[in-house]
Amino acid sequence: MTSKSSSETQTHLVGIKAQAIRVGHTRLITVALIFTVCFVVLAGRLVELTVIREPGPPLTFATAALSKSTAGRADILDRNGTLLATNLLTASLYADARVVPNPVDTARRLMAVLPSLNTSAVQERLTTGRAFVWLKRNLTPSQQASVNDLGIPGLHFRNEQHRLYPHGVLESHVLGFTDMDGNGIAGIENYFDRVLRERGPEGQALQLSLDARVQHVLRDELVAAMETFQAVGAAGLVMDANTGEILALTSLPDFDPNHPTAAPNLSRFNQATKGVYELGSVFKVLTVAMALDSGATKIAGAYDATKPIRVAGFRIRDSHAKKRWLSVPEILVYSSNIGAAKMALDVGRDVQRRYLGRFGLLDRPNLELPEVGSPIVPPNWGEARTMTAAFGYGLSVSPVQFVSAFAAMVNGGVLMRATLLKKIAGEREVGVQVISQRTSNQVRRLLRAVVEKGTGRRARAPGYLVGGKTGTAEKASKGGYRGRKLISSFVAAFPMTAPKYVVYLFLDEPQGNAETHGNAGAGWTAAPAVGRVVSRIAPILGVQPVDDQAAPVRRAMLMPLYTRKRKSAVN
Amino acid sequence: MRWPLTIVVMSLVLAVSLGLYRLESEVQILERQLAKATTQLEDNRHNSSILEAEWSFLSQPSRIQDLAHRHLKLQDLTPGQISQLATLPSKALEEVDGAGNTSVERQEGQPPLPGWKRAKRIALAEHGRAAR
Repeated sequence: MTSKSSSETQTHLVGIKAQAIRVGHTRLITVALIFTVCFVVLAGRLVELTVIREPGPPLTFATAALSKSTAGRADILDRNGTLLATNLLTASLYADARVVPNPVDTARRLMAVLPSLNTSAVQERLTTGRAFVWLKRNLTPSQQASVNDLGIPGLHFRNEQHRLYPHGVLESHVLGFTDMDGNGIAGIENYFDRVLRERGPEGQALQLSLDARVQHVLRDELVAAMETFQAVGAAGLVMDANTGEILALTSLPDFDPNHPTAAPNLSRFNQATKGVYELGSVFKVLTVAMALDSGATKIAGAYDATKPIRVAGFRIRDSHAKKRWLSVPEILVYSSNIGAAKMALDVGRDVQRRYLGRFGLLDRPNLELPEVGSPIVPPNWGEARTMTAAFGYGLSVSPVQFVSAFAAMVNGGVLMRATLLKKIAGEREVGVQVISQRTSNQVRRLLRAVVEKGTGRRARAPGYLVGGKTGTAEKASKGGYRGRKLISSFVAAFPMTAPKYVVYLFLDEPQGNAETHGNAGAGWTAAPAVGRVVSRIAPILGVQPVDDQAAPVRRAMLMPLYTRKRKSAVN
Repeated sequence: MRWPLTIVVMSLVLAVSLGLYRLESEVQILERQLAKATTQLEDNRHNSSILEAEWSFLSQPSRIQDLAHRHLKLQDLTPGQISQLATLPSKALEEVDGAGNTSVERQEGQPPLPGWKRAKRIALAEHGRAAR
């Protein structure tokens, strides 16, 4: 019994022991498992931290502040890399009006460092007791420092993206401007709004075809001419004759894109691209070119310019009347309306329209600006229209459109699309051959003759072989043309042996003065300005001056006038 | 019981936690440095964009023209003042040759180079010397 019971106890004990050991084992394994899992996790994290993880962009205060502020825009550069528009992170001053101690004293002290503030307005805002009132947007760094130095509690800064145009008025009509929130409202800023936003302030800059130096010269001379002749407006263009790149584009009056709303609305009207005008006699270049190219006349041909023409109620007469037969070169050199009209009749209405269409003067041109005007083409193009269009009346086009066509007349006959973006050297866009190389060569000589012997004499720029054409157009108004309201323009290219650049400018309603003997015509007002522009920009653009009188130059530019004193050959 | 294993495990735990701790503090230091560098970079970028804008503002053509008119007695460039190396007179070249202080050598028996070629070589030599 005892043995039985003891053996029973033993087995019982053995059972308990075994169970305890089993439990112990299980616990040990569980703990070991937990530890293993922990260590594996730790080891894994260690490997991840040290070996696998790429260092991501660390979030700092600066980047956090940047990403919160208004979206930035990419810079705009000129063709030489000069900064024309940029984004700056500027500090704007605001106040927590609950904290600012003494509104009157604070306003007075702020006035001392920010004189442009309005004391009473600041006081009023500071007494509102609101947690957030703007005091001044876009402070300069030195202003920010001096406000900080005041040590007034409750004044804070917030970083904002601010669009800045360092050159101010200079490129205003090309660049356009943005609103307070950084949306492009006009000009390049508007046309490339999405591109500029997507690239962001650190992104690739947009490079324009403009040359700030050339732009300055053009604007400088236009401002001077406008002042001298008391014109109400003026506009000008400089274009690369072979690529269509616009190196300068100005329209006066202009505005400061840093404060676009400060200028009257009229100042924001781009006359060089948006405005369309009857440009007058500069169109005779196109008439002569199409007459020569189509074979309607020959360079040695002649037209009777003895008497004015009466057609459909108009009277076509010459302002520099010679009252005799004029040769084709003479028609251009003396700017004969009668001759040009008769030449256009020889060309014919349909051929004239076809040529004008090929020159791109009947459709809205493509340009990287939202402000581009469509030409006004007369609906019924009869004989009278054919004649008036020959000397630039009846058909209204924008200056930029005309300059592109003119460039094609002198560059060998290839029409290039006008552009405001810099073209990469070597990569040349193929233009359209609109007149033959031979005709273009003749047109060059004719234009040189205009400057050497004709109405464009005052556009001479010694050494740079300027050739061009005057255009004095009477402004159309209700019920006909008012004689003394003129648009005086001049279009030129240089050097005429192989034209590189085209310069065009016009003055709106210039007044003659004593120096011009009261004359406000293009030869007296626009031509000399073009001459000065060429003299100043040619060295900048690296055009090598030549001796105008050197034999090879004279030979290359030879253009006899074939003067006919009496009635003789007919075309 | 199984002391060796315990000791191994304990020392492993100690080593790993120590290593992890050091690593973490190192990473923290590096991260702080990086943040500082990034802030500085941002600051510099900001400052340089301000300076670029200022440079463009100060060098705008109208301002330069105004300053030049006020402080310099320069006149507009005339075509007569512009020339090319090719059109340099050859007389000056002979003198330079005679003085013997240029690196242009004229070899015996060789015809003299055309004027423009010599001018170019002299100009290149002089330029090189000035640069050094």
